[in-house]
Amino acid sequence: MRPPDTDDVLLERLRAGDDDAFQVLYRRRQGAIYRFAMHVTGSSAAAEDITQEVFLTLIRAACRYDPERGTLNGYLFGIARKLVLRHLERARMDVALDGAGDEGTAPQLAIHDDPAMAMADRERLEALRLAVHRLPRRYREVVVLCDLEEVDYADAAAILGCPIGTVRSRLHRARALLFEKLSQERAARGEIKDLDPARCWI
Amino acid sequence: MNCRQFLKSMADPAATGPLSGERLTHGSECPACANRWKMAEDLRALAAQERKREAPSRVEAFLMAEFRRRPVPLSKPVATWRMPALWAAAAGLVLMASALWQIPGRNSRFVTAVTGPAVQTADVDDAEDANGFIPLPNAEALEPNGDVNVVSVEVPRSAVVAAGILLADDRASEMVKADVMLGSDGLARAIRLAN
Ligand SMILES: [Zn+2]
Repeated sequence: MRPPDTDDVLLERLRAGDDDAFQVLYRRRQGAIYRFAMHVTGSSAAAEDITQEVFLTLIRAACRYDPERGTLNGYLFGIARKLVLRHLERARMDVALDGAGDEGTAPQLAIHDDPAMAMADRERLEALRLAVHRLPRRYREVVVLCDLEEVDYADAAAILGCPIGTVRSRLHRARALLFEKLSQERAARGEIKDLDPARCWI
Repeated sequence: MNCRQFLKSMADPAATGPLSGERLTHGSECPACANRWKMAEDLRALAAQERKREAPSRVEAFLMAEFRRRPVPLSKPVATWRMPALWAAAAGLVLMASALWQIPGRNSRFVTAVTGPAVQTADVDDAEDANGFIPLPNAEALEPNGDVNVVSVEVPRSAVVAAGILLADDRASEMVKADVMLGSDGLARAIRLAN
């Protein structure tokens, strides 16, 4: 069986007007873009708009992508991130004008379609998902990219516009914050003794 | 193994699956690191769970429609044997534009569009948005799915103005670089400034 076309091959076909190539590329990449936008904005409506805008940009300006400067996946994430930041900035201004809301994000409902998953596991994952949503944006986006979407550090650095070392340190800090938050919640529920995160997450 | 070494080992992307060896020993002695390991596993489980989320199908439907109505592709390679014909056509364009410039009473500086569709698959505004091409006056519409070629030419500014592109007219004799879109018959259909 023929191996699937690479992104770059699909892009060449897309540039030549091949709509099948666009469809394959879209289906391959839309999910990660949508989830990234949803997790960082906290809004499925915004994620839908952003996903649409990212691929419209690809349709209208595919020639701007330069493979020398990174992967197509990284390029698409980079566009998505710009749109996400624009959305968050607008939301922040709306909140400032309205004088209401916290971070302006409303966590989406979790997906619970695995009957085999125990209730305790579901609750733990849901708590983790909410904790990710509540991270400050710079930590949230790195966790979403590297931990949830498994983007490698080099691509993440290109997407976030920072050195790889910064990606590592932000990720380290983000996980520490998550751990601290979850430990406090579990301690509050009496499940565990309050762990000293300063001692344990050096 | 201490907590710092345990943490360092967790940063290894290959460090998945159940704890073993030194890490298992440390994990059994240190509840914080055991919980930390559990959280890393939970992050992987969350990633797997979240991977079921996708953009609604209406986004794909919209984008496919947009893709199909975009202007014709512009990156088709030009066959070498056709180059002389294309250059001849481009030269013809220059003559045509120059002739238009000669039409008495025509104020070409403010002509930005022509009557009738000249670029297929999209209206004039869309064509301009996407590629910056302006249909040439009296050019025939392109055939659907027909070959399109783009050639770069240098033409007098006055010729470009005559084709409907707004330029300052105080340097009319200078040359400017332009891209000319040619149909499969080699006739010019649209023009844009190269920069
Ligand atoms: Zn430890």
